[in-house]
Amino acid sequence: MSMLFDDEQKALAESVRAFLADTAPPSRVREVMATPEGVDRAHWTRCAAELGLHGMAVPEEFGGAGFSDFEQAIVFEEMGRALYTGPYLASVALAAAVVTASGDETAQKRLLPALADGSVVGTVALVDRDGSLGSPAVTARPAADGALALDGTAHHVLAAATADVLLLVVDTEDGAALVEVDLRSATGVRIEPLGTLDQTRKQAHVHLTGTAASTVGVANGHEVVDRALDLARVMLAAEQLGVAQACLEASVEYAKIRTQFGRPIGSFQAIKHRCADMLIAAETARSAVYHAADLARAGASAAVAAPMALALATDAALFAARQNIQIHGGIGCTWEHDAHLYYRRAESNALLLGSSDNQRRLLATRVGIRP
Amino acid sequence: MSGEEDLQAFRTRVRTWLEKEAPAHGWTKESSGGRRRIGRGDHAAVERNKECQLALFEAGLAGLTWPEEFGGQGLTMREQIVFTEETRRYDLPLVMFIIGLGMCGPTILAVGSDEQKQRYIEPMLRGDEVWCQLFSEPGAGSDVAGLTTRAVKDGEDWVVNGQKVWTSGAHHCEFGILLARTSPDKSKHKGLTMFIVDLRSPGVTIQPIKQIDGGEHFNEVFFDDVRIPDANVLGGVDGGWHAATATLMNERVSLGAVRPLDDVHSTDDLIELARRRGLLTDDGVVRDLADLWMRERVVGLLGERITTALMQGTTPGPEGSVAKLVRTDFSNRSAEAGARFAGAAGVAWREDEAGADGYANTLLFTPSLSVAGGTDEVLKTIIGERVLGLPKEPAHDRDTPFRELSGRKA
Repeated sequence: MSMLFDDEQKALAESVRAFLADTAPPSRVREVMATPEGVDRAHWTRCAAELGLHGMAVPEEFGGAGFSDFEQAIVFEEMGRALYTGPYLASVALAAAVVTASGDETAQKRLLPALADGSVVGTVALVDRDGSLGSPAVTARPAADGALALDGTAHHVLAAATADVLLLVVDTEDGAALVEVDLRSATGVRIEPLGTLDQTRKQAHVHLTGTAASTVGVANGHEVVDRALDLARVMLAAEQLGVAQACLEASVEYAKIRTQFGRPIGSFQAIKHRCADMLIAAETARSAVYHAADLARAGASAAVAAPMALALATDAALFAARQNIQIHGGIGCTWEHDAHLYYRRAESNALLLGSSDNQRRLLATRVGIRP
Repeated sequence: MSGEEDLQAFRTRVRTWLEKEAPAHGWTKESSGGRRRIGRGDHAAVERNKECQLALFEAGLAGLTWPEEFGGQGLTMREQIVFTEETRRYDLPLVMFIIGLGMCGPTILAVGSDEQKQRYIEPMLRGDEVWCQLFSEPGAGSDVAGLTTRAVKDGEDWVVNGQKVWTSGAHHCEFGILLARTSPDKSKHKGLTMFIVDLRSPGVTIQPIKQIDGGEHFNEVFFDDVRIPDANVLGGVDGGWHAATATLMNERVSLGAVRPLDDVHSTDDLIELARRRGLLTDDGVVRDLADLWMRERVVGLLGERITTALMQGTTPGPEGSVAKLVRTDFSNRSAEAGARFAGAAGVAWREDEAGADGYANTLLFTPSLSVAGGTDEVLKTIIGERVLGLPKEPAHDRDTPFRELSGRKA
């Protein structure tokens, strides 16, 4: 059991925090989010080259750093704190995790080193036409050379405008298959960028017309994605924890210096207790996130711990992001202040891998509350 | 710090002892009742508690972290945690000693003289002398430092007059640690002194208070010209606030983290209740149960983080301060859910049906958790100021001599 950081983990958190504060401060986040793609590809490569962040949990034999999912979660927490705009969730928590879960060694040898060094960005289509977790509205038919041709639309795909590789599950004659689309070279691909609540994390619909795809692995595609999803839930939960912590710290800092009625507003119990409630929510989330990450590291099942971590971390992020605006008052409602960026991220994250209601429902099934 | 082998040997020793003694004395979960607060006149429960504490002492399992020279075992927090883990499967009747061993003893060890440690610690560890804490007053609840019980020096003694309230277990205690005002000319925090008081002294009157659940666990304690020898001053004249802070910190740690969650419904029991009553087809009920399941787990995880920090020899961080609030929140939700899922049977039952009043009792017991050991509001203020570093509320009474404060008479 270890839910506390050792010295190396503390050093990792500190170095990622310092690197992001230095190279991707809020001013830079705003510049990048204003671009159509919303990703600074040069910075993405630096994260890989200088800190090895993308391959943190990728085994060394596939070009990764061979750390564990716990270290991976630490990085996600820092990414959430910094509102990092790079496609870390899409490429690392989803694409690399899905490829790893596929058990397809050829695909792993080809894709994981490229995902780890940042030269390839991956993403996964996770939702149906309505945006609920499920099968993308894409059909597959056999094409030449044993390949497949895809038609339809993968909706709400994270980082689709940046990604080089799209992974999705389609129904084939042999059952649900995980397939890979090369978004750079395949024909019949149209990316339709979407307006997004969270401008630091872009989404797009990916329209496919007779687009060539190849299968990855032979396992049932839904099972592969579901396995990866639990891990991704832990990582998204870690990110939400970082968002909650950043909002708490911003609120406390402001409550110490903002003076009204002749004294700092943080001396009023109405504000002080609100900050204490934010800390309670954040520490509740932290316990659940580190516990889930610790299970993942140990190779134990996070089937219960993952939805629990995401539900509690999302609750904490939503609460803290709203309270942060409230404690900042008028300035918190302005475009100029960063409070809305966290609010947008927290609310958007809350739905990415199923709402916190979904997480509770999932947990209810998995612990046997629901027959 | 003890090595892993020593720790494992200690665990084996505790386990072996418990396997032999617990069933022999009926300290098992099935026989229950061990954790229940003891009301006035419940002599059997008092004897059960004393028997258990004495057995622990004789087995070398009392006062694990306390110094050997005063009757303790001179071990570390690690052994204490191992002991707590091992006893969790049993139901040791020790509720009577929570305040003495959790607060009074640590305070004496922290600020007491060697003579005091020599005289009081071992009888406390043997369970021969039971202790309570006399801080709160009718006019000094959350604002403990505003208390008005007076102690005036008279020759070699101090003479105490005043009233204490919410004194847990005073009716079966021999001693208490008492906070009284000795220097009303000093500001409120600076004129307090802590005393060791023998509750059998002339002038001490103990009156039970009936609580909302019908129990009589609390007391009012009146002091009328009670004489306390000067040798019983604990931590120096006018050093009472410093001593009390040490006591209260111990109280929060023991209430928040160390005790298992065994005084409210477990989520597993609530799931079973909902199943029995056919409520699991209701999505709202399922969602609430999932929520309770997570919150119960978080109480355990926060406890694990705290004990891990202690095991590593470091001080727990923010998790130590939030543990009691999270625990209280879960307890209140659990009590409320139990009553809701039990339905009509939770509010009216056959008198001869054993345990049928459990949902009602839990409902009536849990509100006190948000008050005892620092109200939720006081704890949030402490978190705001000590953990988050927010500025203190301006206090007009902090630096004024106590006797000049309006409405104060001491």
